[in-house]
Amino acid sequence: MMVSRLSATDIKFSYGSSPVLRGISLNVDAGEMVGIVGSNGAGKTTLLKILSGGLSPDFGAVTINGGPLVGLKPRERARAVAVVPQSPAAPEGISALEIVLMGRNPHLGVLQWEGRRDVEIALRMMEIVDCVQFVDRHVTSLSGGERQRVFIAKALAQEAPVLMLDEPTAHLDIGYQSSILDITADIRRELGVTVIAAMHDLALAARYCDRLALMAGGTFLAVGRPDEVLKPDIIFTAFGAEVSILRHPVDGTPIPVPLSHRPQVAQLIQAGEEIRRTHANE
Amino acid sequence: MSASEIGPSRIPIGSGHADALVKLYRGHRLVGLSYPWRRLIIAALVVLLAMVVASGFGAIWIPPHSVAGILLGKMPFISLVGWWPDGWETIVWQVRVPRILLGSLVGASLAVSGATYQGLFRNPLADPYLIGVASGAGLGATVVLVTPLPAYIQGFNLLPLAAFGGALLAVMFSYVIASRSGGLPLAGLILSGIAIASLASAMTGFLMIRSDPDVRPVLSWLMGSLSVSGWEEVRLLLPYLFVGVVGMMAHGRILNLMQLGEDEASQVGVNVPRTKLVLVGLASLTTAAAVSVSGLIGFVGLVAPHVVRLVWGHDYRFLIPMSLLVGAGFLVAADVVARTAARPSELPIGLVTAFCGAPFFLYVLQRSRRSQ
Repeated sequence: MMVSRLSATDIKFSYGSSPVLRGISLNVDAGEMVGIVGSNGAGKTTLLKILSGGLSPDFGAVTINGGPLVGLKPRERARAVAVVPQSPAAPEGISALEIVLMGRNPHLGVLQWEGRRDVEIALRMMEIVDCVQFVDRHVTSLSGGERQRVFIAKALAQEAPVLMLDEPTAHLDIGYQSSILDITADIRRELGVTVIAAMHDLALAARYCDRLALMAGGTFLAVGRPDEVLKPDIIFTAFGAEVSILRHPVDGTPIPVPLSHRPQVAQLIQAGEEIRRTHANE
Repeated sequence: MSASEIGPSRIPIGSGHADALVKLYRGHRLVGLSYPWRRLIIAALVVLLAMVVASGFGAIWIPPHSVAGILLGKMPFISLVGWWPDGWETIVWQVRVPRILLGSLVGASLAVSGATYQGLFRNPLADPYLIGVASGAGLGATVVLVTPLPAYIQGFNLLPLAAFGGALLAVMFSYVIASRSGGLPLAGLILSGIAIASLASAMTGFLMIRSDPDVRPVLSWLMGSLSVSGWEEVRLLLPYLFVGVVGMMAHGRILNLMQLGEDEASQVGVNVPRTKLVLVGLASLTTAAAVSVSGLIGFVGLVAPHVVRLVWGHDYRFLIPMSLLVGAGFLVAADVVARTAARPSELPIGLVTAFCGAPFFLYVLQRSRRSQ
């Protein structure tokens, strides 16, 4: 039997008395890209934190390559999973190369400093994500999309087989959105990294992910190929929005578009007006 | 499962291509790869020179070459024929040198502790005095001095350890209160620090007034002064400073990682709780040792690291040793002002450091407000 690269079994988690995750199971194969989608506050970020070992679940277990994630030392964990946070803090006065070199920490002893090889790896990763031109720029001076790329390079410098992205396209314009996701595709092709991404935009998620896992009410409502998950009835249950599914002109991936409620409201108002008028005439 | 089984590196390194890249960016100075030793050595020489010149100031002016001669004469294997008057040697070696040396050590301790607190709490305003650590240490020291508790056990001075206890309690209270209240991450720590410092100072004052009138003058140093310093104080401080500084310098790269935030640092493999415990312990021990010989001297831990940041950048591997030198130089200079500005009387040194430090505090506050 083939062991999944990452597997989560019946994860339950609550903040205080309010449950966030009520039994989540997921298997991710090596080299796969899985998108976790769902409404705001569905618990996507919490799930990513648990899958990366930043939070311990109340119940259930996460394994990577068949070994449990809980109980790994922070250094070992950082060599197994790398995380790109949603809006990473940009420390003052630190250059992009120095940020990327921080990703080498799990391969260095506490008292050890980064060496030539670490710089080579950092520069190589910056090349892959197309941010090598920012080497000596301070991260505080970079735009949101540029900074995001630097932090992806930092995560890659950890050389972990699993990469997690928390809303990689949030707060980015359409140009940066597609460039970040194209870079993610490059990373998978060149490094064979397994990617798990929490995503907001359903159409982008459908375009770039092998599989989607749709969260609602603390569980997965549907897991499968984008075609299987992004159906009007499933989306209505998860988001409470009526949508119609368009097809991407290039590769036919599903693009959900919302159907406005406005016309119906307008009809109702008009009907009300007519009723009032008839009453007035009587 | 050991972590090495998780995934082999698939990146083709050493292809010559990466070599070219490294050469291309050699111009970008990385502290980790080409450590700026020369700057540290030059700064150390400048501070040393300042200390020699500072030894000349006092009731009698003693020119630097005579001070240097007297100091050289004290070195082993060197014998000099003194060209200076007889009394000078006693003045320099017994009175001025220990005081200036102690001043530099206290300045170094407070600066390095300040830099570490700032890095650890990611708060540019953290200073041992402002976050209440120094006042806590003062309270700890006072308890030992005024109560029947023994100050020595078999010749071992308990004063710094009592101060350490007070310092740890104070920093833990400030930190916990600040992180509980949330909201104002920058001001929160300073506000709770001020509250803790006021409480500790009030308790110290109460203990002083209740104490034996004979002990009271002994306690006056707590207000921040180098005037009672001698070789004994230097010997008392030195081992703590050594342990603390070496420990904090060793954590330079980890302090850089802490700038990413605690969650992020943990994601790249830093054991955050252990790092916090060790570094708070080292910084508080160093602060406590300084307070137990010189009392409360504020703002050194704020001014020195920020001057280093402004001039030489933010890498803690360089920031900590350079802050040590700048802090030492700053306090030596402040002591000269304290001794000479209002002659024949002497100003409290804390007054001089506050005079420079408080405007600096406002400057840093405004700068960090703008960047947030």
